[in-house]
Amino acid sequence: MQFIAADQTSGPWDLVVIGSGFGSLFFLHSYLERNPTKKVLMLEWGRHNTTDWQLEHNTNSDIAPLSTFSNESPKTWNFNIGLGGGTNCWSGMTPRMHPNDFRLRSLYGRGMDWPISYDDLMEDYDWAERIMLISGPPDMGKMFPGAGNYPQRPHKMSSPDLILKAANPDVFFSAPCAKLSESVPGRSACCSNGSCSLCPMKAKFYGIDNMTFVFDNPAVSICTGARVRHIHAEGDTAKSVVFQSGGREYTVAGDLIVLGANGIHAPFILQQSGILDGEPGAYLGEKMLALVEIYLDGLEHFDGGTSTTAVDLRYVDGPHRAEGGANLYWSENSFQWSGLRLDPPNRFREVLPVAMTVEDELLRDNAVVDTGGDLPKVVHAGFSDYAMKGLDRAVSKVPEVFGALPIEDVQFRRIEPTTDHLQGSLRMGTDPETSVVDPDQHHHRVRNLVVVGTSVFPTTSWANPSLTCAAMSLRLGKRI
Amino acid sequence: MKKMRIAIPTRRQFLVGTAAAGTAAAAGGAWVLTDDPIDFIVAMIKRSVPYIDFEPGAVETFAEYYIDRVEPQRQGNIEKISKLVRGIGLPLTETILDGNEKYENFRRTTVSTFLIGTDYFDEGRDQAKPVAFFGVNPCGRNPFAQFA
Repeated sequence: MQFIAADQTSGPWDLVVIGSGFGSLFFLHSYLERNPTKKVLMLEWGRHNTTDWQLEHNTNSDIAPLSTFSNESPKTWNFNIGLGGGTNCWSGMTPRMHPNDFRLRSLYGRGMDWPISYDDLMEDYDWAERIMLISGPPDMGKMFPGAGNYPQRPHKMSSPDLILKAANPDVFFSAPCAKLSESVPGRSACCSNGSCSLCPMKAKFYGIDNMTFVFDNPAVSICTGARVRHIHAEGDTAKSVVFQSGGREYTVAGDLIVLGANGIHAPFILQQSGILDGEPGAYLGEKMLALVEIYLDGLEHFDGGTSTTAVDLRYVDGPHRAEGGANLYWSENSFQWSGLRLDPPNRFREVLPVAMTVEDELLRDNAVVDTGGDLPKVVHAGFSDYAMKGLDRAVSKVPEVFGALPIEDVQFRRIEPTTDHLQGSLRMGTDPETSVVDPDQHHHRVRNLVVVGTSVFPTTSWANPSLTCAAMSLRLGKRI
Repeated sequence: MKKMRIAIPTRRQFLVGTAAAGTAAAAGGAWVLTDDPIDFIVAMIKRSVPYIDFEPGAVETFAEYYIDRVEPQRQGNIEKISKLVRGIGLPLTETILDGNEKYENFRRTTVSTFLIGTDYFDEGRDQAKPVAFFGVNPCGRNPFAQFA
């Protein structure tokens, strides 16, 4: 990696990339394949915290997310500030989105349609899965057209999973994930310990370790500790980026500006820049993550080969989405979620933790707000009625979905405070009045400004967003 | 799975005399007379699995390891519960906290982490001997996982 100090960034640069997470990295991976001589400056607010540093300090970053914004919300928000961004702290789950996720408005009258389709992303889904060495099942094409050609074999399912797979072969699958089932040079196989945000085996895909094509590319210069404050635009052209480092302010010029900060700070940068077209910051949200436990009668769990072994997809789409959010069920093979079963005695493994992700509806009043200070403010009313109805339905369907198991009891445990999936605050669309970027993720008016990352997602879907974010960025890199 | 015994220099070794004297633990219900979080953790574990016979000092060694590494916010909560336990005892505290998801999650994950660090689940263990604590490994925390 070629790190440079702030006072060495004067440029000019062909590209100035703000942030270094999924959006930025996969965009550069694709872009630099076609444009290897372009000069790229990557500005990252955080430090380069190596994976060894992260393990040693039991954290992904030395910057606490909650110290970087004020939160007026009943829920919390999480992200990672540091080189590699969310590729450090993510859990490594990589389902594709369903084709109908892109048509939520036209099919179910909720949210908005995406300006791109599943078909537009198919090729790049496949590419992203190969880059991250996704482990997954060969029959996943039953749910997602073209899926199933995974570079790594699926992880071993647990005993309850195998029963469920036999009973529901078309909707129950081994979970696709970026945690290796077989070691490769530099990455070990998953040890199934369940602490995926700090993977002790480096089995999980980390950008800083596994995207050396980008980080070590001689075209790329990296400046860490550089907090971008605003983008200077003249008319409809972005001219430069202003960042702070070590108490000083620096200005760097670039022909193309790539905004890849997280879903709270990316809109705040546009707000502070006075680039307010399409209401940057509005429609902030994320899906819900909740946990139930299924107490089993005489059947033991936790014998799968990774921390999240399987997924039931029967309710990721359907007419129920008109009333409440779609959901999926994750079979959790880790007792980091809620521990072993302690009562009655000696039935430690007779419990199946099931995590459920539930789609939420993104609402205009849930927003990142610029109050004129140094930090953004998040104003959010919490999960919507749409998500709560989706959760109610998801819980009520547990006996049906898991009916092949010897169920003794089902207990709802909790709604997690955040899924770490910030979405919607710079949404993409065809109408400049209601969206910030166009179908190619270019700002509707400032045409040499593009936005990458999950902030452009116009709906939350039920699916973990990282794979889709990566595929969209690969696609974008080919189109510029 | 073979686990390495972790030699942990413990302040417990300095406290064990007074703490042991201050802890009156009975099977199925421990009354903790100190507000030392370590004593609370020990009592909570023993009360959760009263039917398991542990080597002397095994639970205490884990509890000290745990308290030394727990994140600050959780440590604060543990200290608050420890004070409550000192005042009214563990059984009544757990009665009050019955149905509290956060406490139940804490209790189960903590007890699980401890048990995984022992030889309790080793199929070849000598059942006649007390259960030994070996240490908490950063990986391999799921001894039931199968990878084939």
